[in-house]
Amino acid sequence: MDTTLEYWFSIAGSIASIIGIVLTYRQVKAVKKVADATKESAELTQKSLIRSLSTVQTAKFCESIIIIQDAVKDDEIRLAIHLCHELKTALIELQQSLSTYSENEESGKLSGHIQALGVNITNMHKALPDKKDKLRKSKIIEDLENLHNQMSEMQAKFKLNTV
Amino acid sequence: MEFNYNSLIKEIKEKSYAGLISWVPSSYNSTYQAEVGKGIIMVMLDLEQDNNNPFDEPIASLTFHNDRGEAFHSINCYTFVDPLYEDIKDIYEAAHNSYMKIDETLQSMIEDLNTRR
Repeated sequence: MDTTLEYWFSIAGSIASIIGIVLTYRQVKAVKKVADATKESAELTQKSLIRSLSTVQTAKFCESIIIIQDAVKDDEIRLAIHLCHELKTALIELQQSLSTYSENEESGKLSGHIQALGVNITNMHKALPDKKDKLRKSKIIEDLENLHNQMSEMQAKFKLNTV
Repeated sequence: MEFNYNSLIKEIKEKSYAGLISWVPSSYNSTYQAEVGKGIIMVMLDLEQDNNNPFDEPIASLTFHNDRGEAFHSINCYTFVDPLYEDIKDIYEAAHNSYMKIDETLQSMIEDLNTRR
């Protein structure tokens, strides 16, 4: 009699354990699902924020580029160097935030422009203070024009969410 | 670690002569630049400088820039007797020749003239 009772208790215990495991598994799965959804939503918000900020940034860069081009044309080389430094730093930051959020193609395109800005800064420094005539301004303006085109293209892509 | 720039200069010279480096004018007069790897090389030959006043400004230079366009190493020659002057001058001339397509143009002129009888 006792053996039979023990047997049934053991069966009931096993069933309860199995049900417990299943319930726990389902709970863990549900929690994971919520966590994944929260993470995905946060990433989307972050991406969308980066896009909005980048749209504003690229518009500002386009303005800066035009000011730098004018400074170069007017022989205001010190001002041009200062603005080029600022632009270069901002482009590096933009490149880093784009590469963090998997916009690799766009961030890769910025590398060449950052490098060209750096080289032109070096050349403008060499031309100071009395060798401005040795500066090939057309090349600096052309490089800036290419960067302006790239920025306009990126701005349009950010607006259309195609990046 | 001390990098051996002399062997790099020889390599640049050979590849420039072979037309394997794409040189373009830089934003400073008498200077050509080329993208190599992640960096940029700039070669300068200042033929207008007054050699009676040496050590004032380099008459020839080779500068290496990183991927942000910052110069990290420069080889400068201040006189015509500088040991690396001839090498840098050769690189500059190869760069000028390659950008201006001088050999190609002259060759095509000779070929054209030969066909005119």
